[in-house]
Amino acid sequence: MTPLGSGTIGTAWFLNGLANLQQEEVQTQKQLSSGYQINDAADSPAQTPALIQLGSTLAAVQDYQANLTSVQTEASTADQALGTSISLIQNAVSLASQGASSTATAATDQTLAITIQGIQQQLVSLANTSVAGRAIFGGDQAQSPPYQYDAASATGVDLLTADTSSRVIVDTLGQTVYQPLTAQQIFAPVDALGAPTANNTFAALQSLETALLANDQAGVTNALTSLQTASAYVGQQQAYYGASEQRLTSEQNNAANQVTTLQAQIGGIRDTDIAKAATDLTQESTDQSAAMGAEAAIAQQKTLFSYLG
Amino acid sequence: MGGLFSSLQTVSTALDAISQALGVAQSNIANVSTAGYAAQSANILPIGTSATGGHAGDFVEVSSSGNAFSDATVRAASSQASASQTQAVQLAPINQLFDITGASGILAAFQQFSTAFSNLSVTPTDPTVGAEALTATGSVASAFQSVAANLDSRSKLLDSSIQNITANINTLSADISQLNIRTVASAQQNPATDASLRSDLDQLSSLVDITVTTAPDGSVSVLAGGTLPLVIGSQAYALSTDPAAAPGSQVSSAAGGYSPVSFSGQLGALLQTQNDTLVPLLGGNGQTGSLNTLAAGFASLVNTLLSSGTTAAGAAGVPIFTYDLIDPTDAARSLALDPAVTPDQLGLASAGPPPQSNGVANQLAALASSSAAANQIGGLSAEGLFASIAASVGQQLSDANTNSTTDQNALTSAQTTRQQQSGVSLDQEAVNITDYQRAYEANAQVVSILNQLTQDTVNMTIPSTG
Repeated sequence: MTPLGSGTIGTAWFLNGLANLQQEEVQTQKQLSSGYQINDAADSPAQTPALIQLGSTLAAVQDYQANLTSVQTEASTADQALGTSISLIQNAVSLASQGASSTATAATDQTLAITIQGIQQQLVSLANTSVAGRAIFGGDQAQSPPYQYDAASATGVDLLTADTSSRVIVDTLGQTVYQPLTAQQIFAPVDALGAPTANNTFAALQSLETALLANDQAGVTNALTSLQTASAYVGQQQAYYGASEQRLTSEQNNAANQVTTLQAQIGGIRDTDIAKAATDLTQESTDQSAAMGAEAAIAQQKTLFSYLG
Repeated sequence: MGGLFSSLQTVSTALDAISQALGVAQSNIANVSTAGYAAQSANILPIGTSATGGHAGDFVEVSSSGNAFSDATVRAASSQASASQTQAVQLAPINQLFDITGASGILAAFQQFSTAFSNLSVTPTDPTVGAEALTATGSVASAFQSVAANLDSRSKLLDSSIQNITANINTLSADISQLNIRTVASAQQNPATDASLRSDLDQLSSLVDITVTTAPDGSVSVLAGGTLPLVIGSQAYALSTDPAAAPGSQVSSAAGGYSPVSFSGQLGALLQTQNDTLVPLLGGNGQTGSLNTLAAGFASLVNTLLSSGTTAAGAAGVPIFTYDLIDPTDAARSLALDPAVTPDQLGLASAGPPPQSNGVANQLAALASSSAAANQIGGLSAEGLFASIAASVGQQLSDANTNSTTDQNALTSAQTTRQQQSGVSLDQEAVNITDYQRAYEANAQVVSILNQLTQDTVNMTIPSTG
């Protein structure tokens, strides 16, 4: 019988145990250096699907955040553009009031008409406002401006693109959170037959300009009424953008909270428990030293041959 | 005088017997580290009890401490330890192909695809963003191709390893059959032959699980996997392997018959990796392969969505992925971005109701993680199916690592037990040598005394001349 503790057996157990200890130590060092206790699926197969799902959700929310940031700029710019538009329309209302007064002469009406023409051109410019090369009121054809000024047109403008805005920004559940308006929806709504409605700013301005040029007091008065209606309507559209901005800000805050929560959940699964890993590493190092010491003692163990002369 | 000569002969025989016993002890000490060597013990029988009588060898009974049960235990443990260790080594690089962190590979490509189409949903008419979406689509195809190519490469290496292991098994089988011939031809047990045989059988057991039976003439018969003959007496039967065959038909013996469905040892681990990991991933033997299912499923969903949409110009959208539609086991390898597709051909608008100019883009952005029934592949989202595949490979590697540690401990334990039973103890040999030395000295002293007695007797029989 070979006694336990003899060199051959002791070495076999030592090498086996040392290999196990080294494997554990490498694993712990990997956890500490990477900061993660799960680096691949083999580290925790059971938690792999949950980790991937959380990671995918996080990526989707971050994409959503980027989209929100993009359209927030768009909505904010639209809001400002409509605010400026309303000011211009109010200027036009003021000018119309002057034209409608009994003191207005043909000469003053001509002067007022020229000013109204300038306002028309500024409004067209606002309708063609662009952000990062995209016409924000261009609807589905945002790559080109929707309107151009045309003094000869009945409404003073020419529509250059189709009047559709079917682009929607959706949240991570597919719910619509933002849909922009077109310039026609804001400044030049028409009825089913294509005729300008009472809310049509361009048509009202053009009517005003025509009436002023003709020194038509009744026409100016009618145009004034139309302008006031159009101004109120544009105000409603600005309110839509104001509400959209609030919604987008709220969504941005929700998304930021969601990102924080998801990152915490992922961290809870994946991150290394530093205190535990450090303790484990110390323990494994101590175990290795103890094993080395034991092996050294075994290696020095003598057989009876050592005592034979 | 006759009595003195008889005594001298007896002592001479005893000296021979002690000398032979010393030889056994010396052999044990010399072979203390020889692989497969089982300690021999010399039992000196009382002089005069030999049936044949006369020859010193008849008074020394040499026996081996080899134990068939502990040998079988070590070999079984060796097969298991080799199997789990080999499987862990084989699975580690495969596991690395399925990065779950989203930093690289298929999952990262899915997330890039989602981000690209999410960006495109905000600016669906922007050709630059459209080009980026096409690039991301190409990355998905590249990721699948890369994983498939890596798995193909692993499969070829595995096939090569299987052939090498088979060749090693056949070499060892031939050696064992030759040792059988020497064992049968030898009148007495030869420790060197015994050690070589045990060493060969130990090596063989790490390559494939074996069953060893010993015949009365000392020769051994070896079966692989419990059924396939490797060695019967002086005859070795070569194994041949065909990794591409169905499990159960992959290994055959020249003696006839096919393997059991599962082996152990290195050969078993390699076949198991082929059958339980690579084939379920890449397909073959009637299976499509989960990687191909994922590749084809995702590509089909993307193509269907884009084909259902319309471009900004109002034209019908076109599919962007191409892949082998005839051979489903080739989907991942053949997945590619159609190079003819341009950004303005992307059908990003959906008809609705309500119609949306970015409806398809929105759907594509959410596709990889969508749990909608229409977007599922085999009951899971694309990323869910990827997670399932990664978790499956990860579980196999985790099990192999755990088993490797456990099996290595079991092997060390079995080897320890065998070493205790049949290993050489230098302490014991030191005691034996001392005993034999004392006995030799005592017998030498007897010879000296007998010599003196004989001399005195001869002197007494010679008349004095003085």
